[in-house]
Amino acid sequence: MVEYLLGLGVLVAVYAINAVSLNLQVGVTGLMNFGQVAFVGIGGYSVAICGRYGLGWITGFIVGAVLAGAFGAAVGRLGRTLASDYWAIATLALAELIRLVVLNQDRLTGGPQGIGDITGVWGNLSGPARAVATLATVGVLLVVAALIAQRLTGGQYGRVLRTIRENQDLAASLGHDVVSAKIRIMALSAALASISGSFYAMYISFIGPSQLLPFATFLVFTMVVVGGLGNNLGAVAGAALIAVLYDVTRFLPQFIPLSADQVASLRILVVGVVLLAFLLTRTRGLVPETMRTFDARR
Amino acid sequence: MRYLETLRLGRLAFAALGVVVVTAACAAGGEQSPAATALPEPNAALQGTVVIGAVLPLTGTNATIGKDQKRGIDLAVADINSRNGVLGKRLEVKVEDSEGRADAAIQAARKLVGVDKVPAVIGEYSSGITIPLQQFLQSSNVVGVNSGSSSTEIRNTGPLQFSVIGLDDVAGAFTAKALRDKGYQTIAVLAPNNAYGSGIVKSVSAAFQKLGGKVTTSGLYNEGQADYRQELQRLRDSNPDAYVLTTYGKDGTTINSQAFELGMTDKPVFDIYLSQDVPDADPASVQGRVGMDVNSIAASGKAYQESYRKAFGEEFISSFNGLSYDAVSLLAAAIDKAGGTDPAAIAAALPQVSDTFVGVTGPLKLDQDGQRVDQPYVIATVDDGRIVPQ
Amino acid sequence: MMEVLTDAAVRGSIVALLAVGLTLVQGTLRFANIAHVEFATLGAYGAAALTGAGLTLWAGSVLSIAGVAAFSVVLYRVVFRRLLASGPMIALIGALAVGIIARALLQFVFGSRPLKLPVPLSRGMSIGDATVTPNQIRLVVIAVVLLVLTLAVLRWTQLGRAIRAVAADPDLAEVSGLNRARIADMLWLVSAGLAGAAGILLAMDSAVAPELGFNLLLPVFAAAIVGGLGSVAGAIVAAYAIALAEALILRIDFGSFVDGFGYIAVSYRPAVGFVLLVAMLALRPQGLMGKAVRRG
Repeated sequence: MVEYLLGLGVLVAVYAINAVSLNLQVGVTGLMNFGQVAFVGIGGYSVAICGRYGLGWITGFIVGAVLAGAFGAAVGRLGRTLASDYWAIATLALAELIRLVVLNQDRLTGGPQGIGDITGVWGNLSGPARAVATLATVGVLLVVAALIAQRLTGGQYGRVLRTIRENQDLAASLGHDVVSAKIRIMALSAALASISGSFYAMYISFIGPSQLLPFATFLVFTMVVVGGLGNNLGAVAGAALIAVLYDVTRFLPQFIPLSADQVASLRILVVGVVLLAFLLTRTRGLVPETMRTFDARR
Repeated sequence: MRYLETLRLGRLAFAALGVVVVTAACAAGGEQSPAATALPEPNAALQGTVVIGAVLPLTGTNATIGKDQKRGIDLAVADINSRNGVLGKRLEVKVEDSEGRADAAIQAARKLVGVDKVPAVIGEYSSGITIPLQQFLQSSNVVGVNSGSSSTEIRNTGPLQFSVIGLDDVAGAFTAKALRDKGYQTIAVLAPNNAYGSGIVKSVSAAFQKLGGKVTTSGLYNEGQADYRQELQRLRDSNPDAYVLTTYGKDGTTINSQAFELGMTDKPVFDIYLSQDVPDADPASVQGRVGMDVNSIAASGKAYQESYRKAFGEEFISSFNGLSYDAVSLLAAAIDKAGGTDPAAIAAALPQVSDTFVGVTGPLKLDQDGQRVDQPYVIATVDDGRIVPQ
Repeated sequence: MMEVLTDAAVRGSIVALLAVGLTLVQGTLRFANIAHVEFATLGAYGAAALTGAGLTLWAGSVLSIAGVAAFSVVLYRVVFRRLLASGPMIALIGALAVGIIARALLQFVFGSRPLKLPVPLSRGMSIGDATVTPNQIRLVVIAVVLLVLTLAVLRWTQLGRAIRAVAADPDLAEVSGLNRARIADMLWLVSAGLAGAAGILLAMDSAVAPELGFNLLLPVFAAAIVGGLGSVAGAIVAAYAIALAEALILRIDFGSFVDGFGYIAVSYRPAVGFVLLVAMLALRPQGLMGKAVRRG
């Protein structure tokens, strides 16, 4: 049981990093990225492919972050003239495109069966010790990611991003380079998401195209909305809540007699309903964004 | 005023929706459950339980197969519990849903290993899921028994990992010989784009070419599409003597229907693992088809067929129930031999027990890699939607 | 060549029916409804349920389409309008959520195994080098009729003029006496109705499954955007053009330049639409026939 809970903790932490990344894009800057799963996938596949060619997992992490960052920057650049809904669809399309390429490129990515036997995390340990070490490692990654995000959103730069979110034209008229800001935040967020993907791939020792489906992005969106758009702590809280909710619902059949199809769809339904409920009633989420006041006395 | 109007309209609409949903549920539910089901009664003398696990595709593309695998398990458990159980206790198999995805399968296995503390896990069906699943089980020091995947890569998943299903090289050779015996010089092959499909294509092509034949083209279709006409047309354009097909799930239904519509069934179609796709197909689209399958559909499996019919009220819906039945029986025997539920002991006992074990799909002897040595196959045809062994 | 054309005709028809509905709603209500394709899935399941309960295919289809159309109005009033009031970002995520809920509910009620509509299996007939089933011919004919009707309604009826007025300038339209709410209702009836019809036609040609509509999400958006959001004629042209491009590219045997077979994998089919979509968004965001995009 303990190991299961520790495993759940790792899952939460991985999702939390992902959520912090998405929050920077959606919550802080207003960039509706429906292709988040692509960044995560780039991280996972980089680690797997580098491992395959004997390059070691550190190289994998770095390659993933760099590739994802570059891709994020490119996608951010695409948003230069687009309204948010067009851009959102474009990001969804690009993520699906990446999934299709991965699905068909047998030699590089292993095609539909993916790449297995990736070097695990803390392989020299075993049992509870391994679980604790893994949780500690991803916990550190999460703290670093959160600190970076907090730094970014706390100061002047954060105010610029928020202005872009509220009113792009105003931001531009104030002299900020909107395009460059978008590009940079996309690149950084993509790198963070990639890190979470790399870690998860090593954790389950497997990466496959089924992990690049759009539902993964929807799940993280739910986390960010429920947690609180624009708030880093909110993103983490949302990740914890939704990740646990989604995983724990697998125990439902023990209480309610349901067919397998019904259990699987019920778990997804719960996520969808929670998201919609928050959007209809509490758009600011559980931990609302705190607006800094321009108080001269402080 | 507006609000009330909306509320009234909304209530009316939802009531209407409710009616539709209930009608639908009745309609949908009506076609699913067959006649009365009766599993064997358990032996009242058994005290306590021995728990093992299973990860099956209960939802997703392969849900039909997963459902049938579960039936095999349920039947085996009931049979065992109606006799002497395992170690004098009742056997219980906790089945988790892999959802047809590797990461979900591993999460499910994580729960079985971490929470239910099972010493062994049966599963899965798709080679692309069984391989990482067994790798995970191996690293958790838990025994794995594969009862559905046939990719030859499964050979190397680890010393605690076993298979009760013959791997692709055996199936490929058998199929190729059957095709040559029928006099076909050229064939075109279609299989799903996953470890299972690519394994089948490779082994059938290699074996067929070794016997002097030629493969005009082979195609791997990506699962989950609504339309397979493009893939089928490519096969048709290559003009072979016969088509070789292996497919399952909802894709199988679509492929079989569209092959019929395209007129491809005018040429001979050979189906690998008939019971994977024939039960879900429109009978007109598979009439007269020839194919191969695992032994449990043959005459020697009559007693098992009878008990399946009695338990579930219909004929086999796939070839795979017998294999998971055998997986459970073999594991139970190994646990009895090992005298306990220590995974290492079970792993040591399995090869020993398998030497003389004959399951409903034939002799289950395992080789030094823990893979099944001898998998008898059977040729059959399809008549009026039913599989008839020759 | 005939195969390419028939392929494009069938797929283009379905995508066009959906894209028209999408572009109408986007143009008038400024709402990029990601859940739009689910109306197709709902329509197909409705027909499956009703025919399963004993109705004929025609009766079941018509009733199902009516049901989906009515439901879309309720959905708009109860959910989408509230979301839109909170802003385009919330509305977009909300549409996402509605889509997920719709698919999950359908899977909950009907299971994930595909259902079939009671259409008899039939041999295709040869037209040139193509094999076409009577079902497919019926599909294209019905679709074209519906599309032409829609264009006619928009062009020549009072309702059509009203819709175009609201799309051009909602405030001015309201001030000049047009009932925006009623027009919105009619809009949803038309667009969801078309989507429901598309779903049933598609299901007749393949099968009913929860992902029926969702698999078309990107080609449909591609068609709507490439055609110019708000332009119905543009969406129709773009839909068939994209379908044609898809069919052409898949037929090219790149291997003729090298040895052996060199076809592009069939699953790359939607990629053609994506590439066109991304290219269009990058180069000409207002689409082929649309007005200039507004900043969001």
